[in-house]
Formats: sequence, C-alpha cells, structure tokens
Amino acid sequence: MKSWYVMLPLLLVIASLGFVACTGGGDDQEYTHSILTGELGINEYSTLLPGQSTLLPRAYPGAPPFIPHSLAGLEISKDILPCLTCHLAGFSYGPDHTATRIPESHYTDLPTGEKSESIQLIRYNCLLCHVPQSAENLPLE
Amino acid sequence: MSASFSKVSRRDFLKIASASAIALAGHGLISQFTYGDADHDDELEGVLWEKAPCRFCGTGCSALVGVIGNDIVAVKGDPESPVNRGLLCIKGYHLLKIHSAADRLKKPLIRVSPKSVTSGAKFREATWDEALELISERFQSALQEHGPESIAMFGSGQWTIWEGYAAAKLLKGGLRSNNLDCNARHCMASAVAGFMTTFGLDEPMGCYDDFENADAFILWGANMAEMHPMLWARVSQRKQSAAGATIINLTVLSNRSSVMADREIIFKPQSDLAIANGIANILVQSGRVNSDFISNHVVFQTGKENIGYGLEDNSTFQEEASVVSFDDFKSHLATYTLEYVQQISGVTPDILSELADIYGNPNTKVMSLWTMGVNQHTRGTWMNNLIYNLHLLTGKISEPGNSPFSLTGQPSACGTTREVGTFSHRLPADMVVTNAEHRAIAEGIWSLPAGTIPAVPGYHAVEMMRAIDRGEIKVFWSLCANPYQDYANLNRYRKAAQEKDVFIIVSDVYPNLSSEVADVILPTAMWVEKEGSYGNAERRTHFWKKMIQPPGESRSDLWQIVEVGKKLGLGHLFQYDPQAYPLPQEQLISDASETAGFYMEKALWEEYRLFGKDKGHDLAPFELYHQTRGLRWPVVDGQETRWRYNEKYDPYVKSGEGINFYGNEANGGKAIIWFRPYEPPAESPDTDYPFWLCTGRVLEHWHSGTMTRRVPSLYKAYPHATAALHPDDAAELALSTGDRIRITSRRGSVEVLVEIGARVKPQKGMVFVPWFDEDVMINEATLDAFCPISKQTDYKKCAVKLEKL
Ligand code: SF4
Repeated sequence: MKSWYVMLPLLLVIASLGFVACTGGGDDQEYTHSILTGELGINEYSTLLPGQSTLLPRAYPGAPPFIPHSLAGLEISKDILPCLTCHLAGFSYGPDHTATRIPESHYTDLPTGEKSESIQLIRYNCLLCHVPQSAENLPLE
Repeated sequence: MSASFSKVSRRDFLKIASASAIALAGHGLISQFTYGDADHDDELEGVLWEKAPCRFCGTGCSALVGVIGNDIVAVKGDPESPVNRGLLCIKGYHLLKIHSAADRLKKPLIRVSPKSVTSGAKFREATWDEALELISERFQSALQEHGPESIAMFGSGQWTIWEGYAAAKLLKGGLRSNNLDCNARHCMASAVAGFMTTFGLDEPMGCYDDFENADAFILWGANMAEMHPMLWARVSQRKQSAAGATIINLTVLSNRSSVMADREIIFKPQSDLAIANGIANILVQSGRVNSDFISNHVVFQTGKENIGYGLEDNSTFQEEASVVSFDDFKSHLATYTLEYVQQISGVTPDILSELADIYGNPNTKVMSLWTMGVNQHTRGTWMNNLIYNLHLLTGKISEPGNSPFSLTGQPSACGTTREVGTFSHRLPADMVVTNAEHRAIAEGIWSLPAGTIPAVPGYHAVEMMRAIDRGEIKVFWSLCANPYQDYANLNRYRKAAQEKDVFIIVSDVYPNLSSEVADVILPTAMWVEKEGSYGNAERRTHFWKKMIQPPGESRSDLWQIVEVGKKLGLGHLFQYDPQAYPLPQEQLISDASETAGFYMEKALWEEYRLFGKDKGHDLAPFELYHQTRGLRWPVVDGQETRWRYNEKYDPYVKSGEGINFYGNEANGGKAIIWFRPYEPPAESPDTDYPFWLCTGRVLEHWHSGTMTRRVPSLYKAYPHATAALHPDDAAELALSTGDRIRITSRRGSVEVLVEIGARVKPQKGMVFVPWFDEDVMINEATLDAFCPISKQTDYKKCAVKLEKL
C-alpha cells in the first residue's frame, strides 16, 4: 500500500475552484470558499507500527488523544479489544515510544463518580472517541 | 511485534482491566513515563463550564463547554447527562472549533455576479438594513404579483425549537403560505408518517432507558457505530455486560456496527420489506404472537398498493385504507414464504427463522433500531409500519426493553421540525393544516383572524425545488441547511437556481454550495453564540444558554426571521409583553432578545407550549429546561414520561387500561397493523447502469461538512469522500485503492477515488460514497425518487455505472 506522503503530491492537483475572490475594491469583500479545493484524495493515516510512533499533540487539554500509529491488524471485535494490550498499562517500547495509559476517567462511572477495578464497558469502542489523523491539512490553514 | 498484540477475549476484558496492570508491573513493563495518564482537563484554569447539547446528531448528548472570555477552550462530556454519561464521540469532542474557521461569514453579502456564475461568484458587503430591505422588497413583490404560493422557506432539524416555531408562525400565520419545509423531510419524514399511520401520534413510545433493558438489538439498515456513536456505546455496554445480549446487524453493506454484532445479515437493497413480512409470516404461522395484546390493542388494515415513486412533478398520494380481519392479514402475509423472501432478499430460511425466534420469544426483550436505511426509502413509511407490526404482533412495545425505536438523524429533527411542525402540511403538536379544527386552534393561539392559515399543504421539500425549476417560486429562503449540496438529482435543481427567476436567500455560518447560488447571503450566529433548544430522539427537550458573542455582524436565525417579519409589517407576531418576559439576568442576552427588549426565547416557548398542553405533548415551563439536562415529554406535573401508552409510566393512560394507543382515539386507542407488500425500487441496476449507488455519512463528519470539514482535527481524521466497492467488483474492473473513477447515473456523474477494504464494505454490485465532501458531489448522481406517503427521498438506491479514468 502506498503511504500517504508518497500519494499526497499526486493528489494535490489544484483545480482552483474557489468560490471567491472579490478583491476588486469598493464594497466587495474578499470571500473565500477554500474547503472546495477541486482535490480528490483517499484517507490514509500513519503506517508506523504501534511502538514506532510518537504521540500527537492533543487538540486541547482534556481532548481524547489521537491515534498516531497504524491500525492494521488491530481490528476491534465484540470478543477482542487489541488496544488494551499496550494502553492498559502504558506499555513502553522505549523512550518517546510509550503507549498512553488508559486514564482514571475510563475506570470511573462518571455520573456517580464511582471508581471501579475495570474499565467502564461503555468505553468499549475506542474508535468512537479516538481517531487517527491523516497528514493532510485543512485547506483553510 | 505480533506477540505484543496478543488477542484479548471479551471474557478476559474485565479481568484484564484489573489484573493486567499488576501482572505487567510484576514484569517491570510499566512505563515510568506518564504523559497521557491523566485526563488533562484539570490543566485548564479560569474556565467557565456550561452545558449545551451537541450541535450534531440526534443522539442529543450534553456537552460541558469550557469558555474563557469569548473563546471556547475545551469541551467535555457532561457527566450529569443521562444520555451520554460524561462521554462524547469524536465530533462532540471537537465542537469547540466549529464556529471559528477562517472563512466565517461575518457580514451580509449581496450578489454582484450574474446568477449563472457559481464558482468565483462575486458578492459585495451590505449592511443588515440594506439586506433586509432587499429581502422584504422581493417578498412583497412576489406576494403581490404571484401570491403566497410563490414564496418558500427551507429550514432545518438543526434549528432551535424557537427558530422553527418563529418560522412556522411567520410563514403560515403571517405570510399565509404553507411553503415551509425542511431538511428533516430528507431525514425523518418516513418516521413521522410511520408513527402517524400506526399510532396517530409522532415519536417513539420508548426512550434510551430501553438500551439497558433490552436483550436483543436488531439494527434495520442503521450503522449506529458511526451515526449514533454514544447510543452505540450504550448498546455495546449492554452487549458486554448482560449475558445473552444479542446484536443483529441487518444491512446492505458491511460496516462498523457489524464489529459488535452476533450476526451480520446482508440483504439486497429494498428487500427489507420482504424480510419484515417474512418474519411476520413465520410468527403468525407458528402462532408465536401475543393474542391478548392483538385482540385488545390492535386493528388490521390494508392500504393502497403500487404507489409509485414520486418521480413526476406534482405527484400526489391518497391512502385507500380498509380494516381487515386478522385472518385476512394472515392470508396477505402468506406470500412471504421462506423461499420467496430468500429469492427477493438473499436471506436464507435459517437466518430468517433466527430473526423470527428473537421477535417471537416472549422472554426476549427486543429493541429494533433504524434511521436512514428505513426512512430514506421509496417505501419508507411502509418499512416503519412493518417494523411496528413485529412489535405489535408480539406485544413487545411500550415497556422497558421492548421498543421499536426510530432513531433520529439531526439534533432537533424531533424537537423542532416534527414537534413544531415545520413541514408544509403540519402545525405544532402533530396537528395538520388540512384539519379545520387544528387551523382554528393555531389561529386562536396566534391571535389571528379565522381563515388565516391556508387549508392546503404547501410544497414539500422535493416539490419545492421542482417548483423553483417550473418557475413557480420567486423567493426561496434556506436557513441552517445546505440544499444545493444535499438534494438528490442535484443537477436539475442547481441549474434551476441559476437559470430561473428566483431570488435565493441563504442564511449560513460559512460559504458552501448553497450560498454559492444565493442572491443574498446572511451571516448566521450558531450554537452557543445564541440561546437554544433542541429535542432529541427520545423526546428529550434540552436547552442551552448563550456563552459567547457571535463574530462580526452574524445574527441568529431567530433574529433574522423576526427582523424579516418586521420589515414585512408582521412585527406583531413577535411582540410580547416585556413585563411578563423581562430580559434574563446574569447571562449573555441573545441577539433576538436584545433587539426585542424582552426575553424572546421564553416568550416564544411559553406560547408554543400551549399547543401541546393536555394533548399528550405537554412541555415544562421554560426555566426547568435550563435547570435540568432535559426532560422527556409529555411532562405532566413536572414529571417526564419514559414509556408512553403504558399505564405504569404514562399519565395519559387511565388506571385499569394497561395499554392505550391514545393517538388513535377514533378506533378506541388501538394501534394499526398495516399489510404493506414488497414493491421494487424506483430504479435498479441493469446492463447500462450495473451498480447500486448507496450514500451516507461517516463518523467524523456532520452532514454536508460545512462545519466539521473546517475543524482541523476532524478534517484530518477523514479528509475525503471515497468510493467503497466489494473487492470482487474492484478486481473485475481492475481497480485498486487510489484509482480515479467516474460514477455516472442517468442524471449526472462525479469523479472520486476508490478505496477498497475501507471501513464500509458494500455487497457485490454496490458502490458506497458518503456525501460530506464538496469535492465529491455525489448527489449529482442520486435519484430524487421518494416515498409517496412521506415524500422522503431515497438516497440509498439508484443505478450507476463505473469507469476507470
Ligand atoms: S455527534 Fe451525536 S453521539 Fe457524537 S457527541 Fe454529538 S450528539 Fe453525541
């Protein structure tokens, strides 16, 4: 599979379709519509294996951390939750390569504040809150 | 590496969570490096936290929004919310940036370029007064020259309740036009028609408490894992904690909900009708029905068949209902043998029997769950009826865990569009414009002369666009919606916008494919920039306060509707007593209230709730919703109602009645079991167009992406719409991931890149493309066929061909 940094330049065929551009003086407002880019792409994420990746910055304090590594072969099912293998205890693969340990909030029934020995089962689907990030940036940035 | 990723079984999940840390510690494997151990929200200082419903899906989670000054700095799940219990999904966690992208609209804009120009169209800035003046002139000249049928408003299931209410009052009571419809027509109309035809009252009898009480969850074409994430968290929790809890995913494509399912059942598009009838047939043939329930609480009916697909302009529908006996009903069903159902659906007899076993076992509490797969269906109303049939035949309804549950797409499709009735045929509290008594009630509450509200329904959403194309609508105002990306058969309607003599007003937050065809663009204040109210899928009404100032000159839809009303000489519709509704203290005042000089939201609320009082739609006084995490109506004596129609829980059911479907007063409070046959789709694959096209959403994006595609982390989480195909089809067409294809239907074509083996895996002969991406305008290919009863478009089925480019 091609990795995203190889694919990207190919995809950046800009058709300059902006819904735009009244810069022509007078009352006209500069008006950009830059999420319409004329670009097509696929959704590709880090191919680094868990243990090779480093943490991505959180969006804000308290935001769920993003997934910096490939999810290939790590499918969650009703019987298997592979994420726990590293994240339960914060497994370390060496300096800068430590899995984020599942924090206390995940052992807490938040409405009552009651702590339990095990992770709250309402958290079973990690991917509802934790997602990978592609290398592509928002066109507006 | 592989050893590090040893599989953890479900059985071990609990054990591991408690024991494994200790075990690993014993081996010295626990890191000393603790970044990520904490939840980090305690790092924020000086933050004011206030509750607000999430801006996105119909789940209706409550978020705590952290504000410093005029900035939102953090968002967390609201632990006091019974809906989401302190969690949010990825969209919810990134709410904090939905309002602040660089190209936010901040001033009214008036088109300079000719209408024919879309990309690169020029607009000039205007003052609000100039924009409102222009809008009012256009409304007036249309009204004078062409009458009230020539104006139209298109609203939203993302409107606040008072915005929808003000819009209904302005259009129906003020401008005397029923041409008010909304994007919820594309989303929930079949659910409404299903409820009304079966129970005579809209919205679910059950509530989210059913998730913790059900034993079996049957998904009918609903990918809850992506579309209702926090409800899926609750389903999963039940699955993992209750012995024997079962999930069945009935679907046309393999998706993330299959991950937790005990069984994934792939069926051919449209054949859900045959499957539901097949299950019902097994139940009645084998006698696994609740005879007492049937004789006391149910009547059987047949209706009109061969009802068409709404493809012709101005098509109409007239039901032909007849009451029949249970035996008649059984003989109608008899066609749906195991073999016949298999032939239509591809579902084998053993699997169909397994489904019947679940519905038919009196000890299994069943929750059926559905949204767009069933609603966006040319027989959407029928499919809703057929699911109710299974619950009514077995008496599995209106009690904890036994729940046919119609999930909702938008955050206030229920609260605003359905309960207020921002549809062309509806009035608040399930009333309709075609009923003289109902019109009189509305005219009474609105202090209008008798005969003000027109008795004929206006244009429904699709017909509204067709009427623009026919030149019948001269002014079209879209608010809080993106019709020029969202409509099926989009080419026809975009072309009409550019070529016809129609003045288009678009109120939005950011430029999008609808503002691109506008004559006037109104910059809109959103979400916590205004005071708001939403109603979610479990009848929960919840409010939020204004937390920050909107940017530039943007104004809420409520303010805009009231100001346009004033310009049109209808200010009296929105004039309330400042003494009765003084401005609130110690909170930011909304633009609508500030301009009015009184508490506009509260005044509208207190008037609106008169409609439902003592009619099964009771709502609580205004303040209560700011104090609670929402309440499920009917709220009687301050108490919410969790299960309607059941004496134990619903104050509207008299003691001794047990169950009373009081929406159907005329037949003595009985629910209606309809016989509804399988009929084929409007368009099916053939030799020229050999593939099914199915469209939908993804977890990370909301609808057409106007907001979520501007949030950096959500953009990066899922930047592009791609085409998903079955690997066999891909191999046959020599396609692999990253290849560019053209998808062509009889109506239009789009180019898109292929992604094989991505999270959605269609059945053979089907291509799936989500519709959030402006660069992949998939609705140029979709078909604007709709359910003739509900008028809801089928976005899930049309025929296309694929070419490799
Ligand atoms: S998108 Fe839906 S599930 Fe996600 S946080 Fe918002 S309301 Fe909850």
